[in-house]
Amino acid sequence: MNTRLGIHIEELTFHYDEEIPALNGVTLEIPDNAYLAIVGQNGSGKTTLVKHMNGLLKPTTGRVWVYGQDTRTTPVGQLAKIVGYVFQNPDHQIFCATTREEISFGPRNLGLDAATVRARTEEALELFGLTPYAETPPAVLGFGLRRKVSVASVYAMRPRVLILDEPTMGLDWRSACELMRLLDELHHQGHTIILVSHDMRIVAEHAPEMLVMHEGRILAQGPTREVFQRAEDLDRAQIAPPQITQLGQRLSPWGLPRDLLTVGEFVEAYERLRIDRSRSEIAP
Amino acid sequence: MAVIEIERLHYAYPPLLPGAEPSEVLRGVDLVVERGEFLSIMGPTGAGKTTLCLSMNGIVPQSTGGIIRGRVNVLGYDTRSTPVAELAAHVGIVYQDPESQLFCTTLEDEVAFGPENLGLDPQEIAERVAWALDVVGMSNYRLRSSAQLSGGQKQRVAIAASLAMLPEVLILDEPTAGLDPLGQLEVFSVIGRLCRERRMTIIMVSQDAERVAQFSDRVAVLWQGVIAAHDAPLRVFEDTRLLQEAGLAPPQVSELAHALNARLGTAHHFILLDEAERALRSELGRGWSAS
Amino acid sequence: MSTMYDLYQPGSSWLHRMDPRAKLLLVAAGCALALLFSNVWIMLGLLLWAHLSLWSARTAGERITMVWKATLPTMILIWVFWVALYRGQGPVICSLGPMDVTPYDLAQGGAAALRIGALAFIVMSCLFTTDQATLVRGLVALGLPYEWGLTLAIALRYLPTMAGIFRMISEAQQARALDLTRGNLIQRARAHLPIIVPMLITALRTAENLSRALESRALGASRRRTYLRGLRFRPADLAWTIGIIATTVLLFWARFALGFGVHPLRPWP
Repeated sequence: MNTRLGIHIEELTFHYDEEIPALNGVTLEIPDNAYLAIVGQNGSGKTTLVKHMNGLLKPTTGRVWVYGQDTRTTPVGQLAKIVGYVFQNPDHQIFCATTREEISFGPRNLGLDAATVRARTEEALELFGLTPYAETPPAVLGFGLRRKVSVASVYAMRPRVLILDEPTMGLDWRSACELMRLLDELHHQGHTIILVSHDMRIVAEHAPEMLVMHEGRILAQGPTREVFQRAEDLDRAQIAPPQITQLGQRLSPWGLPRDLLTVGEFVEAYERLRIDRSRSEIAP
Repeated sequence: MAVIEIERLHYAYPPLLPGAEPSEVLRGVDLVVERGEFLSIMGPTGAGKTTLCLSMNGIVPQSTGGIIRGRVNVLGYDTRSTPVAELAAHVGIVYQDPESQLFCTTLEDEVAFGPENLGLDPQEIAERVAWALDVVGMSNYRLRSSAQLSGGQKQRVAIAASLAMLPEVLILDEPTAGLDPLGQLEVFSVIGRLCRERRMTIIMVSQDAERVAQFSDRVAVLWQGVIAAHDAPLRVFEDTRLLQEAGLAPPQVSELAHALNARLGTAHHFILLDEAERALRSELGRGWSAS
Repeated sequence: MSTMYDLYQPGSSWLHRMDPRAKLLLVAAGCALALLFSNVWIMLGLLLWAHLSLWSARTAGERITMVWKATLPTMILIWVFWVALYRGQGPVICSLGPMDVTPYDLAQGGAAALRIGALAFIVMSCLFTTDQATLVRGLVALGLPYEWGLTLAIALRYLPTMAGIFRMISEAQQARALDLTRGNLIQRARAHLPIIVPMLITALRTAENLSRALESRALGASRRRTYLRGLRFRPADLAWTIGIIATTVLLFWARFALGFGVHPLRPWP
């Protein structure tokens, strides 16, 4: 039994039916306090992969260890203490009469005492800015708030690892940024964040590490900066880096770096380039 | 020539919880859309973009109830009094969720549904179905069920189903919101094709600023119940104050243009990746000996 | 992926090609006969005939097994209760406490139980071989208001979708450590609330979206709605219709005039 921290996946293969495997020999190490984005088309195996991390799916062959526990033999309820999973559609999780009840649902299921449940619920409400809505039925809140409620509900279980499936989908830019700031803060506090996302800009601006899935295999893996430079792999997975990265890459013959991830970085690099150029023009 | 004229539109949905006060979603919207124009509507979540779209085919207020004031005129029809079924022949809407728009056994039936409702001749229906499926690139799936299609394919079928009605106006309400990159690409290439070949009046609600920049003749920003901006994409994306307040993001290259202008005193105005590449390439190529 | 809930299985057998109106008549006649008679052999015959039809239509074994799995427990229950509660005529073959069991009892209970199976398979023989659209068109051609037919078709079409959503919600709540296995029956039933409520809400939202989609595509625009694929009543369908009506009338007469099929064991009284 593996007693190390983090999530260890060894030669994971998974079949939904007898035909094509949804996951084909995936080996992956996610260390403690990682901040990882998983990208890929629908059907590439991203969701299947993350569902193995909290035991919702068991490997057909291969092994998955989550903080020392083998997912094949550990019940989902047990793994839920370590790995929180926020599903893509908040409406698939929301069912309570008040936001407070909704958020306390998870901790209650974990069998915690009433005082702890209350404390965690209040903390989650506070952190996600949901205190004004504590007594409102979450189902009548706007989509952005429902999304926050679903994340807060899973956070309240204080899992070590937080998996979020398309958390910014359907959110406007401001709400998306707010949510990502919260996730960054949680990462800073020691949580492991695993982000499944189609939004390359969000991935570039927040996730230091990235994984590209394609047809059940890991096509590329590593620091986001590096992965966005692997044009061939990205092409195969039909993923495009954010505009700013693409621009940098197109202008690299003129001296711009190929691994720019944000507007800020681009401006800095451009300014430096300009200064260097003018120096070299002035100098005899 | 204006195909859509919205004048001082106010609308409030019936309250969700009994006894509550109805709150206005639209608070005096004025909007004119010209024939053949591609208009994008942007705005934060909950701003009323979908409500605005629904007011153009009569579902608001005829099916939703609520309190309405003001005038909405589409192709000469008053959407408050003309039956929704009648307006549907002129205004097509493709909604956001690919999972709850399609309901027939085969794609052929799905696309035929609209024309069938109009009581058209079966021969004509067959022609329209074939044409619509071809435009969206789904002809090979004619006899397949929509249940096993990908999100992008489903949205394309939804577009075909609307096109088969031969509407003069096509409204797309966040057509790619839930789709993966490939699906988004598929849908936008259909939209591009429609732009190039059909010259329909298209209204697209989208959060994807980069695509908005790519397709739109004009962009309208719906915020706090009114149209806060209605102009060419370039001008809207340069209104950083408004975008900031409304919580919207312009295309990333547009943000870059502003940042470069602020930092280096340049005067860049690009909103598309290709434009940005050309502009910066020429600047880098020229050198800055002048400054 | 969830083809199990997708009742219709495409094919081109005689049953598939039958006009839906004739098929519906066949189903109606079959059900009427199942309800009319109480003879165990006739029930077996109906069941066998339904299976032969499905076999000739190349229906997948899984679908047939699915129906058996759904109906067999009920059938056995009915049989046991019938035998336990009714005292029939004829020689007693064994006694279980206060109950006396006779062949008459067994046959009568058997007929009652098999009737359920026969009804299920007769209806399924139609649903497995007719796609929703054609079924609806058949019903509408027979006089059902179009909107009702459409509602039925949409309900059938969304069965697999709703099943998929149920699974997703179930997984989402399990990820919040929802335990569906603890406690007594009542506690376990209540534990399903976190799945049922989102299910209902999702169903309502889907229904609202669908109704908007329907309206947006001019539902109700014209009194005279046309159809891309019209129904064609072929000579074969006419032959079937005549045959079904004739056979049914004959059997009804045999039942009421001659007492055919009333006795559970013997064809004639």
